[in-house]
Amino acid sequence: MSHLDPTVSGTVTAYLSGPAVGEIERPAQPYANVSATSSEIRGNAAGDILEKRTIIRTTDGKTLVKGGLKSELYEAGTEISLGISVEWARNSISLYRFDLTFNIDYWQNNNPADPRTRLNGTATCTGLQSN
Amino acid sequence: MFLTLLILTSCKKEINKDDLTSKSANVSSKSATKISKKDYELLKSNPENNKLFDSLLQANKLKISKIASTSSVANADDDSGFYDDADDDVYYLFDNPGNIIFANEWYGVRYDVTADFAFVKRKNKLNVKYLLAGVQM
Repeated sequence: MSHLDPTVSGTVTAYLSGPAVGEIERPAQPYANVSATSSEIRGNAAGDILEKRTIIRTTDGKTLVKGGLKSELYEAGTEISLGISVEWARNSISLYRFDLTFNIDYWQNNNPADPRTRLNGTATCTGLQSN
Repeated sequence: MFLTLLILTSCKKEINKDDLTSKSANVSSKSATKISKKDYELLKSNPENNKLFDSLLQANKLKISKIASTSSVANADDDSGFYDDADDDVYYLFDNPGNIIFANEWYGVRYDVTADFAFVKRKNKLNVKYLLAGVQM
């Protein structure tokens, strides 16, 4: 490859998956930067996600997780189904932040069709860790 | 007992989900390896050093059965109350993540970069995805 002009195509997508994920808010659009040398593409990507959820403990010992900050709707003592009421409820906000550095090496096998990608990344979740 | 468990699981591991996804990718190796904060910061300050990446990858792969099996770590760390408000930091090296949509000498490359971060305490994942396009000039 003589000269590559790399771009990030479209937007960076970042989302959460798991057993109890709340409502997602993006304070800013995640981004990626990219540049190229004669044999490599280099770049980085980063972003933040806010997760808002309401954690409700019921009298039968279960924990319910709802998206959004709604603890005022679930006052202690509120009956939510027959014989089961709210023991306590609290709002919770977690911040997820990721930071990635990558490079794509085209000449690992002297074959541009078989590049090697190396990614070094970290992600942090700040906030309540228990549901 | 923990050691025998490790040996047993490593012997039994013939086909798992990771093997299946690596077969579906058109790259020879595909892996996500958990590393320490120190390793991450060392690499971050030396982004051009591919040899450092490879040696850290190898070194951390040797420990993979201890730290990357989420179940054992999750049980040890999931002491909510004590860890309630602590940060959950994870550091990964990704080797050939994602998929090459095409790459050749004449047209350039399209590469679908994916990075999944598994959080231990909440047991959820942050999935990051973006598409790189390199046009041959």
